[in-house]
Amino acid sequence: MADLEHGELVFLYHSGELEEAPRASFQAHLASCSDCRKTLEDLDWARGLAREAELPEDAALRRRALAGVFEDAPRWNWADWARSSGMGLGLAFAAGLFLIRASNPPVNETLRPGGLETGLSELSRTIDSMDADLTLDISNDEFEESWNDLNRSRKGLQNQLYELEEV
Amino acid sequence: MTDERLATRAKEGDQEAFEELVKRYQGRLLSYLRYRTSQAVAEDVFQEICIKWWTHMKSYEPTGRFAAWAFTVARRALIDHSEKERRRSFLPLDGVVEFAADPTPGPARAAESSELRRDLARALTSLNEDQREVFLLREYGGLSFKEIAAAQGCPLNTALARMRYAVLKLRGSLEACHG
Repeated sequence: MADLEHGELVFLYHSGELEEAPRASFQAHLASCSDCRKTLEDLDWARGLAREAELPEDAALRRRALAGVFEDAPRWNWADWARSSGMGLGLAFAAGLFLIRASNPPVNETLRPGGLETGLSELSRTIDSMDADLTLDISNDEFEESWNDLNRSRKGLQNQLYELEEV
Repeated sequence: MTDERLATRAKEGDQEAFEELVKRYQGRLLSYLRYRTSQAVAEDVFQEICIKWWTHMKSYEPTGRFAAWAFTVARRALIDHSEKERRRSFLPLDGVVEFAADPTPGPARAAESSELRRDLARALTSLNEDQREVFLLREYGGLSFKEIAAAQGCPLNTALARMRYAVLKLRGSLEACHG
């Protein structure tokens, strides 16, 4: 943070992210800087606005969500439908491949029956596993870079999965 | 009891602790979602996030802040959902600005809150996606700027600049709106 300017430090001061020494130093700067005092005022205004505009609780929605978590209650929405449809299309495609292969000698081992479903399942499992890794604590600086790499890899795999599901 | 203590209990399988966490975070999480997408999508994603929180709770480390963990999961769920929908933008404007009136008693106060939410939603449309996200993660997620920079995969000073522009634009839009 040593390379940050006062115009940037003011945000970290407001969010309580400055250590004791830089905080004291910044407080001394505040006494003579009207720009930074104005930024602090803007940040307080934004905080107040967000609190006032926060959405109220929705008990019915919370009950539905928790039912989905604990009771595995059936939840019908377009996302589930799309996922099911995608899987259905995948299965239909795999069945088509199987029929083609049954009527023609195999020329490529990667087109074996069930290959697509197996690939999709493995890809989904890999992404789930990465999800678990990505939800680890990211407060460690040294871990951030590998976390970001993993996040990028996951995003790439997720895109591949969507493309495969669309096929 | 702190959020982190509740999360530790939930991690051990305590359903009541998890329910309390969902109750505590519902308003902020719904606000974060609702100011970025339509009501229908926000409700769908809210349910998906609750399931992800519970199923991934084992990966929560009690040494970290629960809010940072929770909103990192929420942010990713929203991105995944959006990618699934193949939407270019998180913000279908018509859906976002149509806020229903509060169902709570006190008509004058409810109308005032609803109007403020509509105004904020409209003002948020003047921000780009990155600026909007920084503002919402900071104000509703309670993430530190360092955590926001890590979530967005950008340098710390970039996250700070996004917040600066977000606050300036919001204040300009809302003050112009209210004279």
